[in-house]
Amino acid sequence: MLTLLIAVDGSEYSDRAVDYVVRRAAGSREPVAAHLLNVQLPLAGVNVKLFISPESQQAYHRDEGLAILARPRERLAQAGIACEHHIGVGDPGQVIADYARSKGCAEVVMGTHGRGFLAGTVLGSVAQKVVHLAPVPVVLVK
Amino acid sequence: MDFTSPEFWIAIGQIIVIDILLGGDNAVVIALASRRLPQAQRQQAIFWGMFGAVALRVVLIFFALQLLRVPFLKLVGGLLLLWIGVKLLLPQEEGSGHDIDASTHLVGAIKTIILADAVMSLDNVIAIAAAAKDHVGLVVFGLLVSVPIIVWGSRFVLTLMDRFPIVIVGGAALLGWIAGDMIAHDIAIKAHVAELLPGPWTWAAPVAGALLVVVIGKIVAARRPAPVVPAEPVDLARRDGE
Repeated sequence: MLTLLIAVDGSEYSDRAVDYVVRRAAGSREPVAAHLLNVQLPLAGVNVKLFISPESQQAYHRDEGLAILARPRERLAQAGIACEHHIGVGDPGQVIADYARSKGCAEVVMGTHGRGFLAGTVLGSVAQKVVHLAPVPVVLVK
Repeated sequence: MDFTSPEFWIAIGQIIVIDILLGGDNAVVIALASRRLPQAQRQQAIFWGMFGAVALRVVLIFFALQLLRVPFLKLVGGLLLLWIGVKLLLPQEEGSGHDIDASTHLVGAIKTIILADAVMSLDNVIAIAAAAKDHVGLVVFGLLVSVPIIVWGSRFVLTLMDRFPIVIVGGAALLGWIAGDMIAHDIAIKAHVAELLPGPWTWAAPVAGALLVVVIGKIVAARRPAPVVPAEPVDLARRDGE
């Protein structure tokens, strides 16, 4: 069994990463299983800290995460690929690398040049950080 | 203060940082309050929530500029900013924070949002007024900058704070800085302060404010028990056995 971690953020680039896994599974003799992961950024601002309980923040992250995971989950189910989904909170690069380790995934697959062009240009990409931190090979899909 | 003075450009910089820091998560709070609404109504609630956030800032700043001329109110505003600066540095306690009511009705959600907007605008407005130092042009600039940050900025701001935690410390210090400055300029105590801190010593008040916020924030944060790091990464998808 080949277990892949697919990190998705709802962008078309991460859809392409899912498509890549579907294609790869179709051409693979070894059955492919997937862990689908969406990482939510922590809500660090003053207003959030003052006005919103951690429970509501988690409920919010959960709603947002499930919404982003819905399409990739459907796509994988159609392709007959066994898949578990996860929603993490924190620094995306770090959390993706942690999941790759704790779930014993053979590879990380993710889209790059995703949403958040401004943030991406100013701050550098999540993909870069995952490549740096993950204990396994990382496939970047454009 | 005019376009050529360095103070003017420093104030511009301060105002931008304040708007990012105190307005960036306004949109998140609005999204949170409207998340139980059906899709179409959700858009409506988010639009009116953002409209309310901007409108309340305009109204509140008008009152703030008048009120800050009243003796002791700059002192009160400065203390509020000091408290917000410290709060920014602290990790959130379990069970703290009011629960934003994620109403299932449009009217209920808008009510919640407007209430939250009012409170969230207040600190932003006081900070803009303090940094602008009664310069009306700068006040207007502060309001204009806050609009795109409220509407589009939340993802960028959250990413920024995640990648560079120093932004939070720097922002807290800045809040302390302008708080110290504002307190020293309160009508009631201005004359005494000028006597106590002649010439270049006028810098002492903002510097003290900045140091106070960072030191108190660090001490209180260090006293709180460190959050337990789970062996497994957090997984919110697993919460109700889905």
